Amino acid sequence: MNKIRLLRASLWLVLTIILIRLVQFQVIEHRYLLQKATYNFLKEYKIHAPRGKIYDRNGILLASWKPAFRIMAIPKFLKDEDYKTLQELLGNLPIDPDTLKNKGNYVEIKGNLPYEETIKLLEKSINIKSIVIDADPVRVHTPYSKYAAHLIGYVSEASKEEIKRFNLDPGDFIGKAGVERSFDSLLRGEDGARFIALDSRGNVVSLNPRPPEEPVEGEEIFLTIDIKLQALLDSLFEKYPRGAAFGMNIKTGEVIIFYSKPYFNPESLITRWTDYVSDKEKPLLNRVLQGLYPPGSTFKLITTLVGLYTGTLKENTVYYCPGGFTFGNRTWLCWRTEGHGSLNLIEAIAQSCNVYFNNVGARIGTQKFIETLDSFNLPEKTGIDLIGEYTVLIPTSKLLKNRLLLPSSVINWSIGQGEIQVTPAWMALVTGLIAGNGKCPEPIVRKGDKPKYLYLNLPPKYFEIVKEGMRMVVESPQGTAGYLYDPSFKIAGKTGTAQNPHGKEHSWFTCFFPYDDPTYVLTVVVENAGHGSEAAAPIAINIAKRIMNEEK
Amino acid sequence: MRRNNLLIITALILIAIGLTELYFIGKSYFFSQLSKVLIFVAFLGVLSPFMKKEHILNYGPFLYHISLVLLVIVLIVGKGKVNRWINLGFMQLQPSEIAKLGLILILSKILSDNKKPTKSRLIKASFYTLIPFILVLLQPDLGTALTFLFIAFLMSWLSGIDPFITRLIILTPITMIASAHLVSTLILYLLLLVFLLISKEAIYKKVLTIGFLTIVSLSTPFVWQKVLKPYQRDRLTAFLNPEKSKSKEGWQIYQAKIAIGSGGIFGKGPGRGTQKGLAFLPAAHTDFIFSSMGEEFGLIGLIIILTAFMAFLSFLLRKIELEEGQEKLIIAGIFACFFFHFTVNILSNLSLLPVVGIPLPFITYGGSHLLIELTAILIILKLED
Repeated sequence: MNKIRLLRASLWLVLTIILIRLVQFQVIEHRYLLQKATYNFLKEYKIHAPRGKIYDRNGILLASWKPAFRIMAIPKFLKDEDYKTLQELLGNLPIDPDTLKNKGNYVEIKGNLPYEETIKLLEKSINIKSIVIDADPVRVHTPYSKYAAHLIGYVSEASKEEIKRFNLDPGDFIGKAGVERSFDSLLRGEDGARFIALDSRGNVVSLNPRPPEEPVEGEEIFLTIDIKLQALLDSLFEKYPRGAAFGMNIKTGEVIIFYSKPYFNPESLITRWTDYVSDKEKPLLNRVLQGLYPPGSTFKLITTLVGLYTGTLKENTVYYCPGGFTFGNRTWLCWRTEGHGSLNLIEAIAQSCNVYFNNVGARIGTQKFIETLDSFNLPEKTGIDLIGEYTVLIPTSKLLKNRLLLPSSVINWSIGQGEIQVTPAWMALVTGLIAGNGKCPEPIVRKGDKPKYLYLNLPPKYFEIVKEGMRMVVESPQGTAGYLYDPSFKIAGKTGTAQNPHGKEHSWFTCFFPYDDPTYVLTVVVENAGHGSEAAAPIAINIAKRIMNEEK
Repeated sequence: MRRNNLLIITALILIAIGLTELYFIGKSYFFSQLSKVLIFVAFLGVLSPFMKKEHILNYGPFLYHISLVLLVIVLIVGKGKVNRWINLGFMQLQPSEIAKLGLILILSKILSDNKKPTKSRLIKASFYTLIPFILVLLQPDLGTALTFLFIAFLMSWLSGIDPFITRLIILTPITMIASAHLVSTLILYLLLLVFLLISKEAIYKKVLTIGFLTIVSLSTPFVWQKVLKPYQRDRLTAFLNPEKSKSKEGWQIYQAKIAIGSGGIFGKGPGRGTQKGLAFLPAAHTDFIFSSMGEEFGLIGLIIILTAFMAFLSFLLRKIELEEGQEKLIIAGIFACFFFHFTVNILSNLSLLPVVGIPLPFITYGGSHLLIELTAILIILKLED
């Protein structure tokens, strides 16, 4: 059949073409191509991907990247005299020659070189044929970024453990704190590779023998914070050396304010690193998530809920404050030593009477207090989408395990003293749970993310009572923040004056607003600044007004 | 029956050679491929006693439709740039490979249906070919899509189509290539006119031929310029001048040439090749395994491999000659598939065709094509029962 014959003929035709071509390559051009293969001595090195840019909620640039120069060399081919020349030109090199002697691939000898130094080097290093000078992206920050330094975080060279854990190479950078760390995999992008052809002595034959694999820039991140509000907040903190503030939208979970002072300047982090580490004020500490403070009177909000839940406390319960409270053989003084007289619950919250809450605590009892908080199942962290948040210490059986408990412990707890320590972010979350009648999202810092919700299952009536008390803190003339009352702005909050071993009391204010439609919570702590009403409350109310203005 | 052994022996030789080369490229490739070979042979061995000739003749449409569903799933699920695989855990299944077998079986049924007139059979066959063709083209996988066309063409041609249509099909790619330049286009038309003047065909066929080819030669440059992206164009032309090409593909083709050429007559010896590996031939285990073998085993090694392929393909041709009806068409489809893969893969290793990601049968690293190739052999054996 001639169709089959035709197919057979085409099969043989293909074979003939293949054989002719093979003879051409493998016999005729063999020597030339063998030479090509022998000279093929290709080395690759990584081109780092530029890290994704970071913006605030309104698109103001906070962190970006720029190219910097770096010197690469294959240690195996770097002669001792070359190494000395480099040392003369660059000063001390971060890598010593002996540890690298046998490395066969490119290693970064020095990175992040300024332009002038690079030019100088280029002029003098023409004799060193085995080094390569190349641009590499490095993280840079805008001046605004320092107002959210702890939220943005920073990057630096990956440690040995990180190299192992995240499958990186020496010289790779990785986010070490804040968003840079928590969203590292997004920001990182995909590294590329560049190729260099060398001869057998390690001299560069061709700088681009094979098309490079281009890196892919990391993803952009839009944060939920408003950097201009952060800057304003910073100016309000001018008088105070230390403190923190945290604000969030309790309908969306978006973090609006994330401020910790003292802060580091991301722009000069590398050059001032040792200063920052040794600074006693701890500028690297993220006080929003890692600052553990006694909450002082802000904790009375929780005491109230415990009291209402156990039935010990009713809205109309009245206690008399003579200026102190005696339990056993010890007396706790009210902050107002002349006494508040007779107070109901709302008045006690508004005027922050210690004796009233000492009475509530004493009637609940240490054991019952712990059991009730256990049943509330309050979160121990806010669950924010950042790594490194600290767990708070509140009187639950889990957190107080192995601690000595006394019948008098609850007297301290009822006014937020004793063992209790919380972070500003956590206090904001609790305020959010109260404002939202038991429902509050976990905070998120990246725009567009969907938060999970946290719940505190208590009758709405209890929350309404607490909220009424918080309203009177500001609206009642006797309220601790009454002097800041502005009839045009409906806000409810609670002051706190936390005794601590480091000097003057920490000043707390935690609030939600607008009162009729709770949308935001804001918590401010000013370290060693005295009464909550003096330092924290004016700052918080000022910022709260600005947040509402921004919304309009 | 004894001749069937030749089919199995040549396939085993080719698999063994492929495994040997994979061992020297990377032990992990070797072990992964070896385990696939063993799993597939065991699987087909268990399946074999239950497989009857009638199943092969009648279950084509079933396999074909399953493969279409899988092709659609791949397009929907795959989020990356190239949507070709479904993850099965121990291997990545490539549904387009299954579709090749599905297409061969369903076309054999359609084209051998003597109750219907030739024309309606051909229209139906074209329809069934175009669906997987388009689905695979969307992945995008030009090489596999063209395999479908070649299989369909060869099967239809053997089942008997009008020489006029055969001519159109053969002239289409020639016209497309010729349209790259005005002079070549004019020469083609001149030759065509002379041919049509001499031939005694019906006038409408002559008009159709000219009209159709004019559309092809005018639309090709348009598709080339407007539809294809620069990197796609570069991929298709890189083989013409790989040394000068700036693209990754061109560079690889050039490195493949260096690999083969530097191997010479006797090769550098197993494991001694310097071209494979990350920097030079990243695809040494897939698209360019032929070059890799050329470097290590030399011309002599390649001739052994080519001999095995020739024996295998000639044997299939002999089978086509001997069989009749649907069986004949099934073997023809299988031959078409093997022949196309063999030719396109090797010629693209030799800078004679663009690299379109077609495996070298039995040898290239990867499970899907191997599974289909082994199944094809089983089908041929079963057709004799």
